[in-house]
Amino acid sequence: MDFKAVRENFFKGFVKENPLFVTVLGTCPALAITTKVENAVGMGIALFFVLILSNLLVSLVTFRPKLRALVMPVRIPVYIVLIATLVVITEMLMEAFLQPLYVTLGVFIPLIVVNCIIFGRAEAYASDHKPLESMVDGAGMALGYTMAIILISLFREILGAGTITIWAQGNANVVLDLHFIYDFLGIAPIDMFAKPVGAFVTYGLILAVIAAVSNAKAEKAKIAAAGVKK
Amino acid sequence: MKKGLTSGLVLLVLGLIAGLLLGVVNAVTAPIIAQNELREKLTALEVFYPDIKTAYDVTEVVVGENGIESIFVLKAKGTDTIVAAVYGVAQMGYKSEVSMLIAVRANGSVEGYAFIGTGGTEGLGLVLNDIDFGMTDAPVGDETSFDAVAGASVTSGGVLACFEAVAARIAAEGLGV
Repeated sequence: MDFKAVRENFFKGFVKENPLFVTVLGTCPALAITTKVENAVGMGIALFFVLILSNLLVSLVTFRPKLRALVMPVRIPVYIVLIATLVVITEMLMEAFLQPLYVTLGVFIPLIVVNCIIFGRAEAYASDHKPLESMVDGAGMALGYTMAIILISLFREILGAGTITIWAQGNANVVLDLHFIYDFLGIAPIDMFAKPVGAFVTYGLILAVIAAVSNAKAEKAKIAAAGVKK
Repeated sequence: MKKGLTSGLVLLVLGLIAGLLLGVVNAVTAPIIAQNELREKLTALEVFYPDIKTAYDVTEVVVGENGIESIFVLKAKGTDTIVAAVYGVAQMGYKSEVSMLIAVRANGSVEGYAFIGTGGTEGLGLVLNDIDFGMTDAPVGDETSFDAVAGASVTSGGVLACFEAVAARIAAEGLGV
């Protein structure tokens, strides 16, 4: 595997195959927890850990032909055991070391077990690729997802609360207060964006922008191709 | 048959490895989680003893009998002398359970009390923490000091039952046991 292929494999999750904006996977937590940037970062960290390791483990148990022959008939229960173990470990570590974040993310941490991105990558990629390639894929997808939920939460927190809570765990309290902008404009933050409906509106708007840009690109390519033919 | 057995064996081995791994992580994180939980509870008890984290050695005794859920025993730092005990207690109120914390001094008088959950209907039932039941500084089982709220849906009976349960516990076992 050359460097270019590794780079392509890693970056495909950022834009081209972004799990949230292109393949529209893992939307439940993305809509539920994106009230603060900090939540998105926490969810991203949890998913990053689980996705990289689940891809690695799935690849390890399916990579060697002998082991693959044993595992493939029961691959779904095997994936569930592997992913659930990793999620429970993540949950325990978060409860011990990032307790406030653990409380905020609540049920969405154990629900990573049934996150479509994890299963999707295990079945569609890790089960057919080498361990290292699978880890790179997992890292790229997790970072792509994290960037996507950070984007949504930035939008929602700025408009809904007038703040950007980057990290407020333990003694750290990195919160940017943007109320001065609202004061300057003489308006208040829009509560709706902090509520579930705000999540849907934000997600819909971002998807619309992405669709518009990719349609425009496709149109341009079509015109260019037609021009070449002439 | 053989195929099914092999599949079962694969899952069994995997389950064992996963269980072992979870056990190891649990051994590392469980004490930290317990410590975090205790710290959180101590923060709640700061209502009664603002210096609880520094001036006392606190141990939690889980009871689960007669409405007494747990007892936080406060000993003077570095000694075996019980200074006070805070009882987590719940009794049936007007509509549902009333849960409260009752702090009792070594001499059996009430240091203070706070409500965690209320069993009243909407209105007064939801503002129990704003009501003075007259029990502060009174002996914990002293019904004559108890100032019930009359004619309201607030669950005075449940509150009194909480004090009585604590008094019965202290009479039977002693403070903090």
